[in-house]
Amino acid sequence: MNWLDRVLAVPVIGIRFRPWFKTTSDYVRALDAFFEALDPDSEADVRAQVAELEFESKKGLRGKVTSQDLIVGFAYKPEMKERPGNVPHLHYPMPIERFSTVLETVERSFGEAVRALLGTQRRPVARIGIVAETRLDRHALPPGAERLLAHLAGPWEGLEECKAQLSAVLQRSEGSVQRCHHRIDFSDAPASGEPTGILALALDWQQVYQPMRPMTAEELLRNMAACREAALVYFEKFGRGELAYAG
Amino acid sequence: MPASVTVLEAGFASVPEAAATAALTETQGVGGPAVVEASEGSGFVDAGREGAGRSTGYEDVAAFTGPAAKPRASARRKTPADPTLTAKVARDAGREAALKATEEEISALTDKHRVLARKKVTGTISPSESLELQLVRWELDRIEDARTGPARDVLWAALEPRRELARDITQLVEQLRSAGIGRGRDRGRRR
Repeated sequence: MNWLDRVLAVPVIGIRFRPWFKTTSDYVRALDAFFEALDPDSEADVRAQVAELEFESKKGLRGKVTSQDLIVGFAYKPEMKERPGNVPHLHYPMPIERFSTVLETVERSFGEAVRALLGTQRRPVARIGIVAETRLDRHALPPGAERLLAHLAGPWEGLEECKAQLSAVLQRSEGSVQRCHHRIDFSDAPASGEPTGILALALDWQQVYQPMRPMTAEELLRNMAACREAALVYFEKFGRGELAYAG
Repeated sequence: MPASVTVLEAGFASVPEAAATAALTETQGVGGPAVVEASEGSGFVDAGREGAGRSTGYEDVAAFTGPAAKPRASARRKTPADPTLTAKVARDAGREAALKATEEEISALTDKHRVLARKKVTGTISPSESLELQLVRWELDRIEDARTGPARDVLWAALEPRRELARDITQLVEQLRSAGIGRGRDRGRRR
């Protein structure tokens, strides 16, 4: 149970490896079965460019493979529905699921992609990332977001607009660093500063290995599961506003 | 192999990082149909030694945008950034997510709220529990809003013409007052 389950939120999981020498066709070959399984009933959309390959399933799973990254995420794609005699209507055609349910789906898919890509190899891993992206009603922010905004607005009468990324170190330990990028984007009514619209918030939690740590697919997935747990604990702490804010 | 695999340009992955970054940058901003204010830089952003805030190119897989890097002409059409419209879409979708709360979860939240509220009343609540109480209240509010919000929105929409009339009357009264009409001394002079 997480506060992100109460709002429109989606996860992303990513790994950064040491760059390796592979051609695009090597990726396609390695991930063949993975792409087949993405949309069993239809065709997943897969595109390859120089040194990178992107994929997207009809069910919302999407991601990217590059010479050093493997990223799997989820997206609700809004669509504009034409209505004769009326203004077009913007909506999400896909059923909305709770964050924790989508996270399980993304994690399962990510595991399949990692196994397909690494096989029996052991690759040096630079970092593992767990991202939660959400769009919040400005009139109903979770207490943690309210506290962060109050903290940021501290020196002034208030904030009308904010487009910021706060990259914070959470914990340093021997051989690794935990950090989180907090991306905030909102724009309130000019002059009055009345909350309007939405606040886009992304919490991009990362475990950085210094130096890189060689891992097999199974070792990587075990580490990823531990990272997911640590990230969820931090997201919950952020939601409560249990950080040492001024005031 | 899926039938729709497209290989635009196969090449070695070991391109220099600058070239790779340039290639990634080119794909930015190509959203899918009805992109709603793409949240740039979403996901897995680089920082630290490689430069704070530097993206590793995941922004085109942003969670709430359209498909990544699709060169269809229709894909370049962007939705006008009407904050009210996007807020409504996001709020409705958020309500749909909040409606997924199970009865067990609601019961657990209610129980937790009861325990924490009692501690608050008796003055035995810790600072950490106080923050937790606020979050539990917010979660219960979201679930309540998901259940009753749509009906409340309809009610508010029905009341809006009357609220507008009330605002107009208030404005008219203010204008009459500022023009000195309707004050006691004016009435006295007329007599």
